Amino acid sequence: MTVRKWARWLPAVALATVLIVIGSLDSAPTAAERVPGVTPFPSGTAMRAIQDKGELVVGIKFESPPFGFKEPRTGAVIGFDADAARTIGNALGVPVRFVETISSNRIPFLQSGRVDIVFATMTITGKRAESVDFSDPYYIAPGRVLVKRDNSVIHGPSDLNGQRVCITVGSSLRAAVLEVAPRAELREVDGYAACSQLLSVNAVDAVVSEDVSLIGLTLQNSDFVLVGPGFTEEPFGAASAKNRPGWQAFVNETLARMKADGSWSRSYDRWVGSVTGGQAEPPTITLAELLAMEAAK
Amino acid sequence: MNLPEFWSILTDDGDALLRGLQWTLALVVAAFALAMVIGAVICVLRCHARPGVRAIGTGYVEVFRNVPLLVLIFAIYLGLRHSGLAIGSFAAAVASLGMYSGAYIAEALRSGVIAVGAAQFEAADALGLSRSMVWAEVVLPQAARLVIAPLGNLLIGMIKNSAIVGTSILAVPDLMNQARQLQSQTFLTTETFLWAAIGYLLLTAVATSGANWLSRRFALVR
Repeated sequence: MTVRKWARWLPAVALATVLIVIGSLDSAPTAAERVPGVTPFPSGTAMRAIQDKGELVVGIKFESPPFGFKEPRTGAVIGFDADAARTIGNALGVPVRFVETISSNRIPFLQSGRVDIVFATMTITGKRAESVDFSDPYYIAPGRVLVKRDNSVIHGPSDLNGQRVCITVGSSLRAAVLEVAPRAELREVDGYAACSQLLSVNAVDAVVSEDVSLIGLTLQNSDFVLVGPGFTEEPFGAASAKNRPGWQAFVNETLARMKADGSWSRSYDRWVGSVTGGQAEPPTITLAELLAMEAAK
Repeated sequence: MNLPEFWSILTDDGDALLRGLQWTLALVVAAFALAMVIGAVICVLRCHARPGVRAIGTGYVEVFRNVPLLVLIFAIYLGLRHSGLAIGSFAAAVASLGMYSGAYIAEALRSGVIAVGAAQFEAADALGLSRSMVWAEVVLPQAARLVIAPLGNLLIGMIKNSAIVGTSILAVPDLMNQARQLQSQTFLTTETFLWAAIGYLLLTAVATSGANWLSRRFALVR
């Protein structure tokens, strides 16, 4: 079989094309949203660096309603965390690009620079504060227990000893569960969708998470029910890589404005109040006070 | 990559990683045994005289070679549990890995059977051996000895595939699972997963030298 001279290049060209196409893919970035311009920050600050870059890359959960999840029709990322992230983006005057994070890769993504900031139901702990910078708390979530309706053994967190409990890998609730139930058998998976699946097939006896997500699960599946009181308070903070000039102060100022001008309450009512039927005030405790409280325990 | 912290993982959490390694070993031993049995059975089906029986064997190989392991894990674990069969996570892991690799082992054995050749079948037949004795006493032993190297490769492949089990919903506490938990608690990403890699290298090194020794001792060269 004679091969045309130019045809000998075909395999190399095909391979190069495939590699270029694969290399240009990213993990489903969402469409960036345009925002009217805002005055530039002083050069040398982290805020100016992001303005020059032209976008704020935010790590957020894609499967944790009502904080970070995808709108079914458009695929846009929405939720309480998304609202907070967009507030930061608006303050910088740049569009926000969401990147999916799960509990176990939030800190690695920050450390590697893959995302600029993380709004992903991330609880502030002293241990994590050694690796990343947190904002002041923007949400306080009580941890609760979810079981199947026909479960007669578990009535609250203290009944979890010897039971199979599902949480996510990297969740701060691991320590909280082991504190109230040291003999609980923990099953750690990637996300609460997986926990929900495991519970529905009786592969685990209970799921522990903050209350709003669990209430969301009970709305989707009438077989699930929350039991027992809230047994831990999980303060969520926005995490960023350390040593970014001016960044922590900027984020805290922006979040304080969000709490003061009513947009926090609007987001709360829209995402949380609509599910729990409750109301809340924005948290006023600062990061320093929170870490001091934790260290004193 | 922080060297002092790298070594500190060994002193602080070495026992957790070791437990994970033991679980991986148990998983691979059980799954490989299952896979060898499945492989032998499917190989015999694939070489049967009747086309209907051959089709069953071909069907198995086509399905389990082409379905990704993770999909298989979901299907077996969640699928069976949804249907009411309360299969445990370790059993589901062994079943998934075993059925998956069983298809590949069947094909490797089949190439060995072809190399053994029709003459052996006919000779054994002529001696009056029953079909099952022909397979069990004459053909499969020779076929297996011819394909020790490919079988060794499949074992190494299975050791690496077992890491998928550790990251899936099965939550079997194997080496990969322990490494992920450790990383999420210490945030020493590079260091923790380097130890996981070392663990898997240890297992594959043992498997390779085992396969090499078996090869030297038992292999038929044609």
